[in-house]
Amino acid sequence: MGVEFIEPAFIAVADGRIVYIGREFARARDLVPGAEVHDLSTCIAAPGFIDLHVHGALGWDFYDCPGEKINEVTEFFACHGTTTLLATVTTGDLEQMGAAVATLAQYMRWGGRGAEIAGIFLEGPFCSEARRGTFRPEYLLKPSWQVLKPWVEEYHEEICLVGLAPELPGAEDVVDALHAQGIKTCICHSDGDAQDLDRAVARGVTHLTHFYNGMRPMAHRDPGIVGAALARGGVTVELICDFQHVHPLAIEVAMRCLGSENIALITDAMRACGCPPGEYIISEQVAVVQDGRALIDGRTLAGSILTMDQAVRNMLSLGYPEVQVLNMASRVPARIAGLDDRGQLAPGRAADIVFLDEDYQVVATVKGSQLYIKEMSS
Amino acid sequence: MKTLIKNARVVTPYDMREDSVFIQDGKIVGLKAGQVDESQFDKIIDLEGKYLAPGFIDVHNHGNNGHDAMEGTPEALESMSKFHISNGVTGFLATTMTNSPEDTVRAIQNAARYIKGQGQDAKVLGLYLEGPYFSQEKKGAQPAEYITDPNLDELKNFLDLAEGNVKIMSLAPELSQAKEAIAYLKGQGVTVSAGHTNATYAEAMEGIEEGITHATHLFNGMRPFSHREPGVIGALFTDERVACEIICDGIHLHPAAMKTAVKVKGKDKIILVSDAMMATGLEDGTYDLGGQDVFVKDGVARLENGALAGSTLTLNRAVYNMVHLVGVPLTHAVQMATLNPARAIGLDKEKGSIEIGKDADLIAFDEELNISLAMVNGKIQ
Repeated sequence: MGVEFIEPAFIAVADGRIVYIGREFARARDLVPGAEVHDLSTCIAAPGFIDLHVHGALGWDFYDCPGEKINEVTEFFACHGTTTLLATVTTGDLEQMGAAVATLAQYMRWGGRGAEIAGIFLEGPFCSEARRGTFRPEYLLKPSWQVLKPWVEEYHEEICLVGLAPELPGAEDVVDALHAQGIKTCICHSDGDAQDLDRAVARGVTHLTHFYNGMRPMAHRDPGIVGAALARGGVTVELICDFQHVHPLAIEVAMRCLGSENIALITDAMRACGCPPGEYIISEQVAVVQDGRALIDGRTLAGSILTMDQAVRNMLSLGYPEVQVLNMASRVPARIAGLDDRGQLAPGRAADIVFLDEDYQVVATVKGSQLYIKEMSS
Repeated sequence: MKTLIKNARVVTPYDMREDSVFIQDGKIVGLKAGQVDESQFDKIIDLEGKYLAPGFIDVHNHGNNGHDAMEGTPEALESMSKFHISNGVTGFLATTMTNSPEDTVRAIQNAARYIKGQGQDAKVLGLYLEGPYFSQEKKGAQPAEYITDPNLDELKNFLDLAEGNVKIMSLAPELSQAKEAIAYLKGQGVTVSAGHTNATYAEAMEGIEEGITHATHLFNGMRPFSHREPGVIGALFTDERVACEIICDGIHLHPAAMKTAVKVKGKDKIILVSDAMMATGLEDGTYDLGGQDVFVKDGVARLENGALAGSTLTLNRAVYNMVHLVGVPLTHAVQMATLNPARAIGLDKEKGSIEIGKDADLIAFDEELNISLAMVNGKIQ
């Protein structure tokens, strides 16, 4: 179940799938005669990272990234170990959001390079004004199926996840309609209280995006969605482990209450990821990127400049066991997104593999039949 | 005199079992399943299927039944002891609160004197000094005019007058001289607690490094937990050295906060306390806490400004709430009111569990936590 180490390991890949993983070189070779052989014997091979929440990199944001530039972003993330991602469309102008969905869906249909966009994550627009973060208030909408319907009708295969604030009037109807289409939902930028979480979970909303961030803080007489989730469990959450969004102690509290099996590491990376410090436009506002974080108005965090490999290294630096951490970057997000064919290294699964050196730096990434070496683009 | 308690569901609290318990000379001398030769006993108590547990230990208790430890009279402590026993509390710490040095000294001297000659009711196991070295920002119902930074001379005087009876002292670790006070208290064998504190995470960790091992009513009177600055709660939450008090009355804390605390700390590091004030056991009305008017309505005690001013909780209700509001097993809830507090004050070798050789401080109760029997040192109260 992806929780053991095999050493030494030989992995045979054919047609983008793993056909053998084990200790016997001869068996690996016999299964794929004539295959190229790569010796990565000083590396750890782990399931490719799966990033459920990422907006962009290298100056591009999925909100307004031209279709022909998407490969730059996905190849960048592949070089940081990500083999699958949910392209996340931020709350913004409705027309632009629709255009972004259409662009991403077309890209997905044609197929691209680098990390695979396995689905679109709509981060809004049905979010709470009180917890909007950097979203512009004029773009926050009351939950309405009419808003999503045209996109879903056209792209229900591509839209994977929709984040919303479950306490808003009408949210439950939208949730039901999305679930009926096989689209997953999560709690996002919500000012909900403990009861709102209970109601949402009963409705099948069991995932929470960037846990702690964009949520009412946990108070001892008003625990909010955060406190209720920690207490009740039975939910999955994402954490932005860049040491800017969430203090290590808050990570530890989530680990103790929810368990690593229910926590997915994400980047929430935005267009400044992979770029030098400076000024970038996030949600149509100027974000200043310096010292490893992006701030609007000098105080509101505007996404991260994190990559999945750095998130893994950050978690390891806190002392969490490597198997747990690697799972949080692969198997757990695969389960949350319903991507059963990946997230672990086993015969029959997608050949999505990240090779890490002893410092957990990415040496190479295999995505299907492609091999990405980090130096290529970063 | 040899006593047999039979037909009991014994909450040891390591487990629950249907044993008979043997008592002799005030100690537990045997636990046995199955048939027992009753002829060797002088007294036989048939619990008819009720629970038998170690007596509750309330380490944070200001008063009840119209009296308060700050009154500084033996009558007050005696009255409190009698009320406690009716709720299954066989031992407690007489808890002071922030007040004038004179009043604090009087309460300390009274408790030290009382302990030497105390009677057979719930035992005063020592003193808990709640204050006066607290944060003004997080004072709660502690009177602002008497809150000060730690004063080592004064503290030494308190401990001298207490004659070794101070078991816990609560202070805010971020204050000037707090580290010196913590080190001194630790050296004197006092359990040091973080309370009424606005400490950041870093400040709280310094206090823990210096010797804090206890948290005064976790969450209440503390800088709120934030995911960017977890504050003192984050430190107390995650550091394995610290045991945390919880006021499980359903008023001071939301059940989700309590459940989170149990999940984070584990059953061994949660201590149920009452933090009860003098109105406990009495009707709604106006009462006194540290010279301030307290208005009790529907069992909730508040100052005029609305701040919660202690509770009207009893520990048997706290255990009941832990099971029914928070959802922990009865064995764990009992442990949080017996073994864990005993450990916090260094009495776990003698008290806090039903084990051979320990004091026969025992209570019996039904599913509703109604106390039907209480025994201190083997004597039925």
